[in-house]
Parts: sequence; C-alpha cells; structure tokens
Amino acid sequence: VVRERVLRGGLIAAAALAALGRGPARAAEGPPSLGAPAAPIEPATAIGGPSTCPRPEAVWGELLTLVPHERLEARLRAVARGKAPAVEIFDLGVPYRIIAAGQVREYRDESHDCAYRARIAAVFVALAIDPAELVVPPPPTPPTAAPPAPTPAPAPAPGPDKMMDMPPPTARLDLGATALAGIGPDDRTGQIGAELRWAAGGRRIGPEAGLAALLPVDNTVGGVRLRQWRLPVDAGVRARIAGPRVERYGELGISVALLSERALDLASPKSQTALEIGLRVAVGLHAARGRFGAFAALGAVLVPDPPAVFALPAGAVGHTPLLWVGATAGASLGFR
Amino acid sequence: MRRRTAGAAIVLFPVLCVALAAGCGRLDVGSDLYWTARFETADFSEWTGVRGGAAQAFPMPPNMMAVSSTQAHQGSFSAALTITAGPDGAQENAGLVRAGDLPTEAYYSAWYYLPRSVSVGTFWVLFKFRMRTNASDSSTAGELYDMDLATLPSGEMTLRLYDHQTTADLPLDVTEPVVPVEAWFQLEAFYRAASDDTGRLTYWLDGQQVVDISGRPTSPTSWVEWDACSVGENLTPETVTVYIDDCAISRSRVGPSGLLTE
Repeated sequence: VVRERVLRGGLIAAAALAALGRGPARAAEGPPSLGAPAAPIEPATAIGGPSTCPRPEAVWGELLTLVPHERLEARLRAVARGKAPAVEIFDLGVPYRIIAAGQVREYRDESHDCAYRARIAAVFVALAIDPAELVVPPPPTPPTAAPPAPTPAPAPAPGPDKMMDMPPPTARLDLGATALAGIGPDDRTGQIGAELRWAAGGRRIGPEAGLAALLPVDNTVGGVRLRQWRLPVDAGVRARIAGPRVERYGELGISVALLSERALDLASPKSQTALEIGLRVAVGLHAARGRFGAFAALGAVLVPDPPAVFALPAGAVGHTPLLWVGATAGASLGFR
Repeated sequence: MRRRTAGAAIVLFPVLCVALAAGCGRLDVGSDLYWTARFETADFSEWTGVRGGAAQAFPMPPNMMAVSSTQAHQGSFSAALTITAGPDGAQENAGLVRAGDLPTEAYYSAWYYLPRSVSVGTFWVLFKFRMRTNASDSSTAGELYDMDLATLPSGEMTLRLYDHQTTADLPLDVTEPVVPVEAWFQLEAFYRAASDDTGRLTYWLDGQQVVDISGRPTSPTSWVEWDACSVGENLTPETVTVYIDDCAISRSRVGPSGLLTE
C-alpha cells in the first residue's frame, strides 16, 4: 500500500513538472539558448554514483517518463556542479541515498526492488531539480471558462518522505502485565498485577508517569503474617533512543506507593497504611514506531527508608522490602 | 510544546527527589497481647475491672497492697505487695489474680523488683498457676505450680519450681539461676492447660529459659488461674515488699524487650 501511495505521489509530482514545461516557470530554467545550442546531456554524465540498485541509467529512464527530455536537460544544466554529475545514487544496502541539486535524501527498501527504487529516486530527482515550480494540476476548466489562474496552488509535501520518515509519537500509553519481587532483610515477597504508563515529550527526553494495580499477597515480616496491598505510582523523566525497528528508553523518577498491611494471625489484628517513597529506574524497548506496538521493560525501585512493621508485644518486627524489581510487558499506543 | 513538557520534567524531578527525604511511617498491624496491667492508672482497676480479676492481701493487716511510685519498670507506677511472714508458721498473702476467661495456652509475663535480699525459711511464691477440676465449680479450685524464690548459701536469691501434684520441687534446666536484687527482672511462662500429653509449662528468667516441662498433663480442665503474688512463710526479715509492674498475658512471647504499649 505504501508503495502505491509513493508512486501515486510521484506521478502527481511528475505530472506537475511536466505541466511546468508549458507554464510560467520557464523563466526560472536558467540561461536561455542565446548562443549555440547546448550539447545533449549523456545519462552517464547527468546521473552518477556507484549504486547498482538502482542503476543510474534505470533512474534516468524513469526520469524521462516523468519529465520531458528537453526540459530535463535544461534543468540538469541549471543545477550542474562543474564536471560532477548533478545526481548521484548510492546503494547502502537496505537504505539507498540520492543526491540531487545539493539535496540529500535517504530511503529504505528492505526488498531490494531495484525498479521500485529507480522510480522513487526519479521522483525525488524530479522534485529536487525544479522544486519551486511544483504545482498540483489545476482542476478541469470548463470549455467556456476564462484562462486559468496564473498562480498555481502550492503542492503538498512529497508523499515518499512522509511515509518513510514518520516521526516518533509525541506521547505513548503503555498497558501491560507486571510482576514484582520485593527484597529486603526482613521481607521477601512477590506481586503481580497490571501497569499503566504514560510518556510524553520530545524525541529525546520527556516526562513520564505510571500506575500499577497489584493483587494482594500474603507474606511474613519478622514472624508476623501479613496480607499486603500495594498501589505504586511514579513520575519521572524518560530518555529515548529511536531506532529503525525499536525505540530504547530509560526512565528515572520517584515512586510513591500506598502500602497497606493487615495482620493475619495476631490476637488483635488491624490494618494500617503507610507511604513508601523510593527512587525508580527502568529500561525498556518499544517494538515499533507506529501507533500500536509492543513494549517490554525492566524496573527497580529502591526504598531508602521502608516502613517499619510494628506489632505488640514484639515492637518493630521488621521493614517492608528495601528493593522492588520487576518486569512489565504489554501493548503500547502512540499519539501524534 | 515539547520544550514545555521537557522543561516541566526537569523542574518536577528535583521536587520529587526532595520527597525521598520524607519519612515513610510505621505500619501498626495490631497486637498479640490479650491483656496488660501497667498500673499507670495509679490503681488496681486493670485487675479488678475484668471478670475473675482481683487484687487482694490477707490477712490485712499486716499484709497490704498499694500502687507505688517508689519503683516503676516503665512509666511512673507499680504495685507494691507487702507481707509480714514471721517464723510462726502462718502463710501470709498478697496477690494480683486473673482467674477464668483465660486462653487454654498463653504467655504470662510480669516484672519484679526486690529492694533487698531475703532469707527464705519455708517458701516465698512470686508466680503461680492454679486449676479447677470442674471448670464451672469454684470449690474445685486447687494448686498447680508455684515459681518460688529461695536463698542460696551465698545469700543470693534463686528460683524453685514447686509442683503441687508431686509436692516437690521440679529440677530446673539451669542450676540455681541467680535472681537479681535491687534491679527489675522478668519472669515469663508459657502455660498450656491440657489433661493429656499436650500440656506444657516453660519458664524464662530475664529471657533465659530455666525450665521446660512438656509431654504430660498439666491440668484436668482448661480453666486457668494466674497469680502474680507475694505469698510467704518464715521470711527474714519478716516484712518484705516486692514491686510488680508491666504484667501481660499474650498470644506470643513477650520477652525482656517486649512492649506493652506503643
């Protein structure tokens, strides 16, 4: 689907350029032929570069289907840089690079479809060597209408760029299953639940916040059996490293958990809640840069001063975990 | 927009870091104490206000009981139990009693203070369990185990466990443990009333186990009476006062570091 859209965009642009040959942009084509007629441009001198996929001659051939030969030569002369080719093509494997009229653009094509690459490159070259005069074809003029308006409408941005250089989402909402292990000298416990995380900001760094709902768990602190509920929320910053297939990120923030403990075996049990404040770090991966994708993350919360569990007559029987480590995986929704 | 959010994050983060300095609080999850008596009400209401509880001395005079601020283990008050037990062969009594409405098994703890050494002629009981052969008939009450004080040849005080069933002292696991004078010491017992082999009686002196009797019947019924007392005969000097404080009945061990209040 993307290829078809790319091709359609290119054909529209090419049609616009072809129309320019008859339009008011002729004055911008460079020096008119005042003296002897210029020698015809050879494809090998106009389009260079070491690329074998696409080959320069294949790009030339595609260019000729988009732009009339005479106009193409005129534009290439106008943007020529001495003896160097006006257009150069480089095959870099999955990516391939086109340099035309001083503009550089890199596209990706994992299938190594050389004909497709040639068409894309030709569209880019056609746009690059004559960008100012690109127009959308005017609507059909009724037979009795006045001459067409002299000023064409500006063209939309080229299709291929938009599809292939899609920016990362400006915000993400991650929902996943989470498993946590609490570790401390007096308490070791495990918890499972669900985690919801929001992250926003620019490409590299931005705020993030998370909330987890965890199932209650029974554990023992200092010989006192307890049923523990824990509701952690956190806020901090996320730094991202965007990649072609995955986005890596790291988070640093503060975690505040509402911790509720109820004794199970005491003669006079009661429930009480306390705040557990910790420093949170996490690293994760987003599998795609699109709107939907998967994610996985590893995190840890260090609680420097965990709440003490107090029961009579023993007094302080121990503390809740000093360190929480966990893993979360689920689905991610991106917003632009 | 992105700059604003990133800026907010940069400002927010140090603010949140400050929160780390805040205390995280304490989770008070309850108590294993069934009952306590700390005497901080300056009376005996903790004993007399519960069913089966009592604080009494007899004959009175010369024996007497009072709440005193002269000595206190924790807080400001303790119970001062004074008896005058001369060489006339009469038993003198002052006791704090919890009878009935007690669990079949529990830990019993009390702190004691002896102002001076006493030479024990016949006996001096500080800690006592009693029983009933018929739990609903008070006339069937009888004696079980007495934790006594005795005097060593060195003049120091030590413990003796007297078994009323065998009318003899039971051997302790620790030989002649020394009971401190002019210092608070804790006596704690675990008692399981059982008419079968699950009966158990264990004593600790200041946290050190001194005797553990198990695998035998302790009481014909589950009815339990516990006395923190001063019951003596033929003591020198004749008039002795013992201070008692921070008494507790607990589902779990109290121990010397145990707390009776938050």
